Formats: sequence, C-alpha cells, structure tokens
Amino acid sequence: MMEKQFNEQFAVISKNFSSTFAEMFGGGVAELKLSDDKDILNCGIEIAAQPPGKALKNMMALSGGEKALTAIALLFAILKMKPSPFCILDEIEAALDDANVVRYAEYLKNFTDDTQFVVITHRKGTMEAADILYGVTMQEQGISKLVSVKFNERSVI
Amino acid sequence: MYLKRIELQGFKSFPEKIKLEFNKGITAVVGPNGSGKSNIADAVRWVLGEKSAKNLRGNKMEDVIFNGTANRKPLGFAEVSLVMDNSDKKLNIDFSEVTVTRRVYRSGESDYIMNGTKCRAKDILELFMDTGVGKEGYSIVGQGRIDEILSTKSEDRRHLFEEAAGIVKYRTRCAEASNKLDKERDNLVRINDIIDELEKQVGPLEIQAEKAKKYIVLADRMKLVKINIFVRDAVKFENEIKEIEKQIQILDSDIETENKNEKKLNDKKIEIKNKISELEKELEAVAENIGNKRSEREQYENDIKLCEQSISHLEENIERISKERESGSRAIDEKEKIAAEAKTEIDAKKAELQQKKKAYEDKMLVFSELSSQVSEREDLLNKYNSDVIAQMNKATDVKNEISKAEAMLSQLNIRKVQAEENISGLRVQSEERNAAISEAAKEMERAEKEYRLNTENIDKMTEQYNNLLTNADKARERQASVNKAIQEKNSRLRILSELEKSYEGYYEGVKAVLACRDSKNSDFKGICGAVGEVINLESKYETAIEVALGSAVQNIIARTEEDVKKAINYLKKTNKGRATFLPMTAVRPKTLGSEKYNIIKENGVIGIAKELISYSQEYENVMSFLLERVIVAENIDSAVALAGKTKYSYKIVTLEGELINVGGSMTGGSMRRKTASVFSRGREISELREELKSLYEEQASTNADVEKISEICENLDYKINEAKEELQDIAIRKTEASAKIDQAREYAEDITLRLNDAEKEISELELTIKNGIEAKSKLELSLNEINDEINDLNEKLNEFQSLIQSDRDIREASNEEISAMRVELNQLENDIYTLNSDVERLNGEIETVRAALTEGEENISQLNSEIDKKQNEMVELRNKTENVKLEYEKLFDTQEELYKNKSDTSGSLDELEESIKKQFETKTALEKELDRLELRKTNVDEKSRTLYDSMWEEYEITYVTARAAERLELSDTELKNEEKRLKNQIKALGNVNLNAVEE
Repeated sequence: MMEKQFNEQFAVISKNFSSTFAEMFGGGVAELKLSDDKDILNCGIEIAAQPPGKALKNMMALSGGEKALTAIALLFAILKMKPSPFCILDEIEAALDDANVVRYAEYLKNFTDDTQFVVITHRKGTMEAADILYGVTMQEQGISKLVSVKFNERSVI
Repeated sequence: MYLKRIELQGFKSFPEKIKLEFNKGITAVVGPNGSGKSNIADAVRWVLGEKSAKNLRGNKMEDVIFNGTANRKPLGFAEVSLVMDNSDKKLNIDFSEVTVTRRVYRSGESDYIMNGTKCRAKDILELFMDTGVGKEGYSIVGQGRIDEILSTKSEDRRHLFEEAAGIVKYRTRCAEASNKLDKERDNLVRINDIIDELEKQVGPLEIQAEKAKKYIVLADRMKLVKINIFVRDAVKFENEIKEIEKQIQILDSDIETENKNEKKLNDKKIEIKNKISELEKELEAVAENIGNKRSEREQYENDIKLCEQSISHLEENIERISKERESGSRAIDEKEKIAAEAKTEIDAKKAELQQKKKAYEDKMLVFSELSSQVSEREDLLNKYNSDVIAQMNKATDVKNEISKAEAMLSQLNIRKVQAEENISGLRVQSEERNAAISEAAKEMERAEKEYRLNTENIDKMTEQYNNLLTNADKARERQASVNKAIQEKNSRLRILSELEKSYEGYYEGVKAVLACRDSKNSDFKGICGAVGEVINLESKYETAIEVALGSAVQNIIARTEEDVKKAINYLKKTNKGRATFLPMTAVRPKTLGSEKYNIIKENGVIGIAKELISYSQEYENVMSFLLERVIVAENIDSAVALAGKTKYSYKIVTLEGELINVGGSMTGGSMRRKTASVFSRGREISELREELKSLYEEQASTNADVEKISEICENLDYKINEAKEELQDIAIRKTEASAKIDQAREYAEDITLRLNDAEKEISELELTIKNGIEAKSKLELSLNEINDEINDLNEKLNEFQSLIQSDRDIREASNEEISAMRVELNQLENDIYTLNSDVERLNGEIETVRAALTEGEENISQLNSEIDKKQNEMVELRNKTENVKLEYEKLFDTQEELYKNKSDTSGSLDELEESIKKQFETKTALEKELDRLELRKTNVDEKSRTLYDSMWEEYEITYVTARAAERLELSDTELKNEEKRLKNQIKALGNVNLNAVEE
C-alpha cells in the first residue's frame, strides 16, 4: 500500500516538476527518476535537468543560479501536488537574477490560495509581491526590533 | 489552516516579547544583514521540534536564549509560540485555534506546550506529520539550504519526497516495529548463550563429591554452632531493645511535660506581644495625631502671616491712590488756566484774519487784468516765431539738395577715374596675351620637331632589337645541343665507371680478389691488380694485344707469393672460384736480346708487343714475361713472312687479331665482342672525360653568349620604352601648347569687348557730371534769397520779445505778493484751528482726571473694607492656633505615658523570653538523648535483622525453628572458637561443588 501511494505521488511530482521547471526556465527539460525501480521505498531519487539550449546535465554541473532555480522548481512541484499550509522561505531566491526573481514572485502568488508564505528576502521583486512587509532592524546592538507595513491597507488609504 | 501569529520572547536576538501577525498571502520579512531576520525562521523550526543546535546556528541548545549585550543582561529562558488557525480541521485536533509553544531554560530544561498543556516533542511531531509542515519537511527552507535539496545524496532526498507523498507516518511506525523486532532477537541470542554455558558444566566430579560429603558434615556442625550463636545473640538483642524502650518511654513523658511548659510560656509571650503591639498602635495613632496637629498649627501660622502681608499690601495701595488723587486735582487747575488763555488768543487771531482777507481780494483783481494783457502779446510772438521756423526749414531743404548734388558729382568723378584705370589695365593685359600666344606657337613648333626625331629613333632601335632576338634564339639552340651532349656523355661515363668499378668482364675469382683489394682488406695489400688494369695502349693495338695476352689478361699481379697464398685461401674459404696470380718476386723476365733490332727492321712489323704498350715501371718484369717475345705485324701476310724468317720461334699477332703461335700454329677469324674489352673500357673512359671537358668549356662560352645577348636586349628594350615615354610627354606638351594658344586668343577677344564697354561708360559719365554742376548753381541762388528773408523776420522778433519781457516781470512781482498774502492767511487759520483743538483736548483731559479721582475714592473705601476683613480673619486664626497648641500639649503627655507603659511591658517580655530559652535548652537535651536511644535501638534492631536475614539466607532457618534445634552446653567464647575452627576447616577444603554428589 505504502509502495503504491509513493509511486502514484512520485509520478505526480515528477510531472509537476517537468512543467514547473519549463516555466521557471522559460524552456528546457527536466525529470525525476527513481534510481532503482524494484526497490522504490529505499532507493535514491535522481534529478536530471536540461536548461534551455544546454546539454542534459547532472545537478553538480549546473551553475549556482540554475541550481537554485531548479530547486525552487522542485519545491513548487511538491507544493502543487500537496500544498503545505504554510511555508517559510529564507532567502532562497538570493542567487537568482532580477528577471527570475520576478518570475519566482509571480509564481509564489499563484500558490497563495492554498499556502501561506513567509519569505525572508533582500530582493525588491519579492517584496513587491508581498502583502505585508515586516522590517527587522537592530537599532540597539544585538537586539532586533520589528516594523510593519501592510501593503493592501496602504493602497486603500 | 494557516499561521496566525508567531510570538517570540527571549529567543536569540529578540529579548522582548514580539508578536508577528500573519495573514493569508505573502508576508515578507526584510532588513539589513545581521538584523535577525533568519532568527524568525529558526524560531518556527525550533518550535516544530528541531533538536540540532547546529541547524539553529548555535553550538548548544542554550544558545537560542537571548545571551545579553553590553547594555542588557542575558535572559533565563526563551519561549516561542506558533498560533495556528485550524478552523478547517487540517490538524488532527479538536480546536479551531492551536497554539504550540516551546520553552527552554538556561538549566537545559525544555517544555513543549500545546494549547496550554504540557506535552512531548513526539506529540508535536505527530500533530504536524504529513501536513508538509515539520522540521524535516519542505515548508521551511533555511538560508543556503535550497541548494541542499539538490546537492545532497540522492538517498537523502527521499525524505522530502516521502513527506510530500504522505508516507512518513507509515515509515515511522515501520521503523519502530523493526526496532522492537531487533530487541527481541537480541534477547533470544542471550538466552541461547546461557543455555550453552550451563551445558558445558555438566561432567563427572567424584572428587568433588567426596569433598562435598566432608563439607556437608562440617557444614552441619557449623550450622548447629551458628544457630546456637544466633539464638543466644537474638535473646541478647531482645533484652537490650526492651531496656532501651523503657528508657525511651521515660524520656517521652519528660518531653511531654516540657512541651506543656513550653506551650504555657509561649501563650504568655503571645499575650504580652499582643499587648505591646496594641500599645504601639496607640502610640502610632497618637504620634500621627501630634503630627497632624503640628502641621495644622503651622498651616494656621502661615495663614496669619499671609493675612498680615496682604493687609500691608492693601495699605500701600491706598496710599498710592491718594497720592495720585492729589496730583490729579492739581493738574485740573493748571489745565483750566491754560484753556482760558487759549480762548483769548483765538479771538485776537480771528479779527486779524478778517482784515487780511480783504486786502488779498483787492490784489487778486489787479493781477487778473495784467494776466490777460500778457497772454495776448504772447500769442502774437508765437505766430512770428512759427514764420521764422518755416523759412528756416526751407533753407535747410535747399542746402540738403546742394550737398546731395555735390556728393553725386564726386561719386561720378571717382567712377570715371576708375573706368580710365580699367582701360589702361585692359590694354596691358591684351599685350601680355598676344606675347603669350606667340610664345605658345613657338613651343608648339619645337615639340613637333622633337616628336618627329623621337619616332625615327624608336624605329631604328626596334629593328636592332629584332635582330638581337634572332641571335639570341640561335645561341640558345647551340646551348641546348651542348647540354644534351654533356648529358649523354655523362651517362655513358657513369655506366662505364660503374662497370669498371665492379670489374665486369673478369672471371668470378678475379672479381672477388679485386673487390677485396678495393675494400682495403689488409690481407690484400700485396695485390697490385689485374694485367688488363695496369696496361694502357692505343686503340689500334687493342685487338692485337688482347689476342697476344689471351687469358693472361685476367691474371692478377701480386707482390709476393705470400700475398698470393692469402688470396687463394680467401677464394677457397669463400668459395668464390679460381684465379691466376703473377707474383712479382717469382716471375722472371723473358729477353729478346739483339734479335729484336733485326725483327723490327723487317717489312710489315710494327714492333715488340711490350714496347707498344705503356705501364708502370714496377711491372717491367711481368710485362716482359708476358709480352717480350710477342711481335705485332701489320697484316697476316707480313706475319706469315716474319714467321717464316724467324723459324716460328716468336708469337706473332696482327692488328686484326690473327695469331701465329710459336711452332707455327695459326689462329684467326672473326672476333665476337661480347662486352667491351677490358682495355677499350679504360680507354673509352679517359676519352669521354676528355670530351666532357671540352664540352663543359663550350657550354660556359655559349652560356656567356646567351647572357650577353639577353642583357643587350634588355638594355634596348629599356631604351625603347624610355623613348616611347618621352614621345608621350612631347605629345602632351604639344596639346598643352595648342590649348594655351586657344585660351589666350579667347581671353584677348574678351578684353577688347571690355575695352569698348569702358570707353562708352566714360563718355556717359562726363555728360552726367556736366548736368549736375548746372543744377547745383541754381540751387545755391535760391538759398541766398531765403536767408535774406529769415534775417528780416528775426529782427522783428527781437523787438517784440523785449516788450513782452517787461510785462511778464510786472506780472511776476504781483503774483509773488499774492502768494505771500495767501501764506499769511493760511498761517492765521491754522493757528486758530490748533488753539481750538488744544482747548478741546484740555477739557477732555480734565474730564478723565476727574473720573479717575472718583474711581480712586471708591477703590480706597473697597480696600479699607478688605483690610477689615483680613484683620477679622487673623483674629480668628490666632484663636484657632491657640486651641491647637493646647490639644498638642495634651497629646504629648499621652504619648509620654504610652511610651512608659510600653517599656514596662517590654521588660516583662525579655524576662519571659529568657525562661523560654532555658526551657528550650532542657527540652533539646532530652530530645538529643531520645534520638541517641532511638539510634541505638535501630542499630540493635538492624543488627538482629541482619542476623535473622543471614541465618535465613544461609540455612533458611527462622528464630522459632532455631529455638527448636539442639542446644549445645558451651559458653559463648567456646562457641565462637568452635565457629572459627570450623570455618578454617571448610576453607581448607577449597572449592566445593555440592551438586557433584548428585551429579
């Protein structure tokens, strides 16, 4: 039973991953594979990714930004299948360029119906997508303080 | 389900309680580096059960507690709460809001709290299991962890997928079950081990059985002894305990009485204390009262002082007001006086004004008459003035016209001069042009002549060049034929040399020996060469000599017989065939002697064969051996004749190859030459070399010829080209010259045209100048007339103006008078007005001062009444103060009394306490004694129990059964000794296996 469930869910994730990867990269192919079809409950899981216009690569051969983007695609693929009620993302988009940050932020918005996001970020693109902004400052050495801005309210005013 | 709120307190960099409210949607946390953003994520991870301090970026769990800064103390605990909305019941718990809290203290103690009740970490893990939330899940991605999803081993990645696939629950249970299984398996193994061990011990042990039997006897005796000791000891202990209990009872009753005493004393003490506290309360109340009274009195005294001050203030006010009133009435008197004076002055001024006004009106009448007269005359003057101006304008116009005409004339003159200059310039240019034309024509002629000469020259040179080309062709042909001949000869020479080198035509053996010699084999040093090699001769003797020598041509000349031996050995060894050798040391020459001269003189005899050839002197003997007795004849006839004459004692050969041997046998016929004979080859080689030498010379000369001719050709070609270029230049010069002529001619025509134009212009200009001069003289005449007229008019004007001036002076004087009068009038009116307003102002002032006076009076009376009031108040206050003072003194007395009372009671309390202390000491002593006794009792009790236990352990015997056992009639010490002895005996037996008897 466990095997069956895992198999079904894995197939869904794999499909989602292929589509989210293509959307995040604007093309390209990627897939998830079980390293041993006979022992699906214990075997490893391989990721093969091919960014647009490049050869099919092992994960180790990707650049830092590509790696991050692939990982984000995988995260989104999982969230698509099984939305976690909330999700805390600590600077996962730090390695992306500006265009990809905007794409990532837009993608986040798509999930907000099912998942609540708390993102820690330095990127303006992500901040723009946020509904609430919390600023953390350290006016006194070693002590954090909070400042908050709610975007939706402000726009109403 | 969503996250409503996070509350942090004392967690990492958040010392104060902080709440983060979240809505659905995206919440961004921003801030500078190091401000503590990630700590928020860490906090959530921590609550969800993170156990690794490393994952929270610390070394140990206590690091998550706020650790203080320079200005703040560290905190004792950290607490984080997650508040989640669970209205959709996604979490398997029956609350619509779930609060999960984790708290850790610096001592390391850590609590999980769910909705206010403590719980285990496992409960929290299970609550969030398979929701995707959880420390291992994908809902919290830490800083720098995103890459780890990919970079960790593919097996590690599984966890993420299992969480997503929702099978973690099963997997955890599975792991637990397998853990249990492992444990059970371990237990089984251990039991088997024990069984094995036991089996090993089974074995026949008779010696041990023997020993055991002896042991049993001893042990039985030992048992009996020990039981006896035990019974006696037990009785002893019992008696002891009984005695101790009796003592304890006595002590208990003592302590009881002491306790009763103590209680009584304590009750008394409490009573006294109550009394003291009552007294103190009273004292306090009195003291408070005293304080109140004192402050009351002070208040009253202050109030009195205040009243006094206000009274003095009011009095001052009254004084001030009355002073003001005095000065006010004085001011009224003064002002009334001034007003009266002003009124009399006004009357005087008014009368003066009346008078002055009349005089002024008279003067005004005279002035108006005078004014009208002056204005009439001024009109006239204006008219004359305008006339003069009109005439003057006319004069200016005429003058302008004259100056214009003059300017035009000068302009025309300048133009005329210019035209004349132009004409002379043009003439010079025309001359220049003509000169240029003639020069260009000359140049043209010269160029044509040169062109002709050059063409002829070129023709000549071309012819010469063609001749040379044919010559060059011939020379080249010759060069080619020479080259070809050289090539042919060379190849022939090469072939022959090769043949010679490989000793072609010699027998195999001979070839081998010669080859060895050539290879500088030291064994073949003495080999000089084949006979054919060493002989040189003319070609006509070739056949004769070859025939004469026969096979001896192939003989090899050697220096000694030794050398010959070596060579023959070599041939044998290598199996290279045979050869004939002529060792020089062995061969003897054949002599011909004097017959020789006779034979040579014979008809048809050419000579002795040996003398017809040439060779190196060292071979003299060999040659003599071979050819001394051979005669060469011209033909067969002479040979036969000679043979007859010499009686066939010589070998005779003819040039054609017939041979008459010694003894008369003859050989002859045709000779077939298979290969070039040995001689002819050598000769041909030398001939070829000769020929080649001459051919090379020829080649060099023809090469030089060809080169020379081609050089000349090149020179000529260059010269022709040069001449052609020159020709081209000349042609260009020619065309240039003709172009120049054309241009010059055109230019000359143009100049003539322009000359004509200029002359025409000059004549026109002269005409215009003449007309201009005439017009100018006319204008000058009219100007003179106008000037005369103007002079007349000016005279008239001057007369009139002096008249008007006198009138004006009179008018001005009267005008001045009038204005002076007007000023005076105004002055008077002004004075009157000022005085009037002064009077009014004074009246107003008087009025205000009067009002102030009355007001002052009222104020004074008011102030006086106030003073009265204050004085009354003061009297009242003084009375009150007196009363308070009395009360105060009374209270003071009461206080004194209370103090005394209190000190008495305190004395009795001290006494009581002293007795309590003494009583307590006796009680403690008793209790100590009791403790000691009880300790002894427990000791004895313990000892007896140990005794009982050891008896039970060793022999499973109780006191009751022991008493039933046999009694030994021995003293205590004897029993002890018996025990010691038995123990030693048992010890001597060593290890005893009691089972051995049965086994």
